[in-house]
Amino acid sequence: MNNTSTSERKKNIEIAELRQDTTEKQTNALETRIKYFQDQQSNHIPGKLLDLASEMIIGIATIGTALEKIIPEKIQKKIIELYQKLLLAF
Amino acid sequence: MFHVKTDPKFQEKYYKTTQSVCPECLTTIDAQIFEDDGKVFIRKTCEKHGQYQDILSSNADYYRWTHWRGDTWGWEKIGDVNPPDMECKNERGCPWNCGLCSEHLSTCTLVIIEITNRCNLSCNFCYANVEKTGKLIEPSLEEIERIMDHFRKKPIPATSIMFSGGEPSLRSDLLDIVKMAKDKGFKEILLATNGYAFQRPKSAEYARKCRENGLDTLYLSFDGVHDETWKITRGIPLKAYKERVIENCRKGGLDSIVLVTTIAKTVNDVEIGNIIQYAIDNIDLIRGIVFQPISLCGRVSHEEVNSLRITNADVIKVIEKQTNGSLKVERDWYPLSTIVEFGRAIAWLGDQEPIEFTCHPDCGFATYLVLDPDENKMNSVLEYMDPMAVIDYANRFWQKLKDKKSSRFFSKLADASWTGFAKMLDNGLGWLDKQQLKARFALGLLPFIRKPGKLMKIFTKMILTGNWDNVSSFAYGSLLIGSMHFQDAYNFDIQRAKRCIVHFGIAMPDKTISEIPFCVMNIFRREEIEQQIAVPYLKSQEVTEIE
Repeated sequence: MNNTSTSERKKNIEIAELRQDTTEKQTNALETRIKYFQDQQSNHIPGKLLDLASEMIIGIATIGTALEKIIPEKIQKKIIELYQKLLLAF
Repeated sequence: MFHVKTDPKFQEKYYKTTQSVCPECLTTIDAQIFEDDGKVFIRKTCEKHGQYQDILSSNADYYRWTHWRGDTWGWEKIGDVNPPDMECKNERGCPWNCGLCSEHLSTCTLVIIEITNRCNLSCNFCYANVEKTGKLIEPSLEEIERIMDHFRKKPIPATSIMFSGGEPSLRSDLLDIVKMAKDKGFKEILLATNGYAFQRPKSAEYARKCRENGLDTLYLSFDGVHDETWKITRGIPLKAYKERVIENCRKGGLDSIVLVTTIAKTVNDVEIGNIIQYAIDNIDLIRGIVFQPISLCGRVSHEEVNSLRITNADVIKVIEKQTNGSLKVERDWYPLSTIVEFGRAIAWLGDQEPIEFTCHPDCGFATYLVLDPDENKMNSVLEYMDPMAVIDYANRFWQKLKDKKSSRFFSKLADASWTGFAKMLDNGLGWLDKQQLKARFALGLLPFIRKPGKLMKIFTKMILTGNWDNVSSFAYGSLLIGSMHFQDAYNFDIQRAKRCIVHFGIAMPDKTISEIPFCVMNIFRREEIEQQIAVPYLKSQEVTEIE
């Protein structure tokens, strides 16, 4: 690679600000893909069960994040420790 | 990120001894890795050629963090290994005569086969170009098949394969090669290309055929979004060329492209933010960006090294700056080895072959930008979960899971007359057991989800099934950003070479297959091996047309 000074390069190259928002094209692409996997899965019972299970888990997570604001941090830590012990008891 | 800042061990200045090589004569010599003025360096002295010092990281805090080890785990992982292919017989020791021997500490995750050294471009830094060497290296289909078998028939088979070059899309039998890889059971098939066969008129059809034959991802070299950059890096403007590749892949339904950017200081580091933005603008196709700080192989002077050298730590710092803080050094970047146990647990639960990233923490860092379907915005995945807690839970879960034996309850009771039926019942028990373990794993991550929503629902599905389709659906609309620094003779650390997970496969004239770690091949073995396998290059073999 040839070498040029940074200032010279910066004159030529505009540093783009990362917009982060997504265009309609990208959003559509994601939605199409999600729909594709959902369609595949809803055709059979395990797919529906999986959908239900993930829905339930996210439901619990939503309640959990709401409770986080109410329960003091120390107690939260203890509850999580116990909860993990239970889940790791196999 | 630096969750261990209060740990006294984290406060200590980094110091380690290792082995490296003299950049001049490549003799193995002792080296020290040490911290000075907030940076980390490697220093070594050759009896004949004197002392060399090179920078390993411009951020000592980050470096110390990625080498931290707690009571139960750390970033340096112990990899599972395959039986050695050979014993190291060379008196110069590792890495000479590497092929692999019992000193290697990780298994191969990504196989690289250079299927040709012909190329339509002639970049001045390229070491593989046939025009410069006058020698053609192009393994036959039979040789390529033997290489694939070598990696697939090992006790821990490699899961991914990449065809590179030269320009691999110059081969007229590429579609057959890709199909062969799929038939051999490789899960992920990549093509490291400048895009030659995908940028021509009617290439959309070619892209579609590649997809149908099993090609998963185009690993597309991409130095910047401005022609000024291309002229410096490759000698010609290639902006329109790359855009044609992207458009033809879009039309042909080849919807997984990873941009690969070799980064050199003052050459194209100013383009990093632009490249990320370009990927976001094409998120329906572009799945990732791999920045590769330049590796200075070949005969390069110390002055050139100093002027071009950029480290992984520099890259992630530049990314934070050029993305206006969307990706933060202290929050978002983790060594590739972070997800080893997480990946193993998911693979075990989903009955998949695990992908083992048990490479050295210096090899690379990665993060994810995800498209949130609730907000229609790209966010860092670290906004959605507490990573350290997730990793810690996954590690503890894997420690319990790895020793778990499948149920033989009915088989033990059975006499000869109903062993088959008993086995079937045991399989049923095993299936039930696996389902409850999947639920335990997913439920255990619950307390660490920060932002529940559609995205986390896809993530949960991925954990509950562990199958490739759900991993793909999570990866879709996500942008994996990595920085991988390959070694050269100046910064070579033998510990990294021993943990390499990217291995070249080469069919040797004596019908054996040489399996050689990526950096070892480029620094030590390429010249000698190519002398053995090359044939004289005839001009008539220049750029064959593709059907």
